[in-house]
Amino acid sequence: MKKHPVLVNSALIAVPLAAMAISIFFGKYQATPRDILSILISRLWPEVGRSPSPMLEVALLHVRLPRVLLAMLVGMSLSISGASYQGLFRNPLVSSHILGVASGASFGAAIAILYSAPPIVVQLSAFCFGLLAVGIALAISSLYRTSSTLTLVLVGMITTAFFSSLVSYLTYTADANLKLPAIVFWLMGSLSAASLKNLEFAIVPMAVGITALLAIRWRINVLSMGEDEAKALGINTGRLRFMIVLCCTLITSASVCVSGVIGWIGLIIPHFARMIVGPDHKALLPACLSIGGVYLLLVDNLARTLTNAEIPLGILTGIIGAPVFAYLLTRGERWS
Amino acid sequence: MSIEIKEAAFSYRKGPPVFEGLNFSAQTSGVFCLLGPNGCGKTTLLKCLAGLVTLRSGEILLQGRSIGSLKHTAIASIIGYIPQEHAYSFAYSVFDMVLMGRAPHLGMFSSPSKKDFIIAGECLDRVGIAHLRDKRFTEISGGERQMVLIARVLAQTPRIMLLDEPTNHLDFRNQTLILRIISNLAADGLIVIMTSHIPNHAITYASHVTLMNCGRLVVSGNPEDVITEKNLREIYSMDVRVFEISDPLTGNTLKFCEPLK
Repeated sequence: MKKHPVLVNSALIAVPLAAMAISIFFGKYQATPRDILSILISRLWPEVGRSPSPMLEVALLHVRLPRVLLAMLVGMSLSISGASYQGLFRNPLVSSHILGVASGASFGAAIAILYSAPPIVVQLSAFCFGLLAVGIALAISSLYRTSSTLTLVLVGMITTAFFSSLVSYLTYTADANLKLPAIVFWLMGSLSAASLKNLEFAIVPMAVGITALLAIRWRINVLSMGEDEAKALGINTGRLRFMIVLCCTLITSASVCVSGVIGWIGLIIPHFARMIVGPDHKALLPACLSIGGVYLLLVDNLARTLTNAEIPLGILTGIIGAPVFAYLLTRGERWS
Repeated sequence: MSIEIKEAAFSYRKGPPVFEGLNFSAQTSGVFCLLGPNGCGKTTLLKCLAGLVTLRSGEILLQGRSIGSLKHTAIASIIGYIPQEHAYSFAYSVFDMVLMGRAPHLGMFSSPSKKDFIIAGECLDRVGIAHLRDKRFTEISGGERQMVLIARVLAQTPRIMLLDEPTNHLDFRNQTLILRIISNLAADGLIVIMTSHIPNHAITYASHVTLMNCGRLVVSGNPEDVITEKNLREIYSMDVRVFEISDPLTGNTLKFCEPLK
């Protein structure tokens, strides 16, 4: 079953590091390892070396590095929340957006774009409406007496449908030349606006949510036994479920607000990870961090280098993800 | 350890009572078997005992303390519960399944340590399924699954075990294997409360039998006194004969019942 745990674990740590290192070299400004080394040295020990080119330094440190890091972080966040939700809902078909966080955030972003708000306000609005959408879902589900996960899924569908309709209305009425392209580009997901500021904005909620999910990850196994069995095993199911939803919402809202809506990752990466490390969430969640981060990083490298114009990420994750997933399903080990 | 039910009543929402006026107690180790027709309230009663649902009135006392005042973890480290049907989710390994039994003994942010691995391994041994350790739970037979669930309950190190029709869906041999494991656990000091549809199981393996019908406990006591033609006819509304024969090979007395054709 677990054939070479040491080998698998080392790969799960080494591959993301290697992928990040390599990704720094991709892009319009060609950089050699030597350039990067000298930039690093000039930053760390200014008296020893000098930066080869200020232009390159800005491109690497203020544009490319934050983008690489954000791609990793967003990929990690969407995958770990997808895996946690699949455990919570005991359903391998749900993804990180199940409770309406993406459509809520989209509405927040669209309305801010419509009022010509500056980028930071667009992000903040997306983040807050993402939280709000899930908050509404939880509030409605608490009105029903049954606390079943099925109710939560249905309520998630309700909030998703509601906010999606609002987004549709906004895109329908938006100025086709000025606002619409920005809204549509945002809805399809992109990291082209990545900056150090973005990174600073997103990293705190992501770090908090991911750390908390990792801390409770073994209990997700028990929760996935179903309401009665989990309770009989001493789990306070209501509290654990709320914690998971809170963490996932925090990190997906933070992701969506810096990258727009990126589908597929939260759905397929957990499956891919399960094929490698098995269904135990103790191993699954860290594996999702590694694989999801690498996957979005590679896709984003393609998005920014494949053509002269940026290709929206949401499009690429699907175009690449769908056939890869179809292939994996035919040959991989079935764990769910 | 003791568990006691006093004047218990339960109903879903504002519906009619599932059961009411129930009094029952288990003070010493043994197999307590609950017999009764479908829909008489056995499963609901077990769920109340496991602390999964709350009574409408009356109380359940665990070692003299009301179950409602105890936390989930406190209940789960005393009472283990195996539902009638296990709802599958992911294809966990057998060992991971058994390890989950350690949950009530672990804090919110901790996961199993070496000590828990050892306990889970011992529980597999105790039920005799150490060889299944690395198999996937979804790919083993129904009888093996039931043994895994028993091992998981044992990993909780409970004093009381609640089993809802533990022999459900099992073949002739596996039914016997499970019942033997259960009576061994009772001999080791556990209070086992199980529901069943097969009076012969109660005759052979139970130390105490309770007959339930239409939300009421009809009669309670030793298997010999309780499982009579009259009582069985009353709760199942059909004619049942109880036989007692002497096994010509061993000389032991065998008792069993059979409905008339």
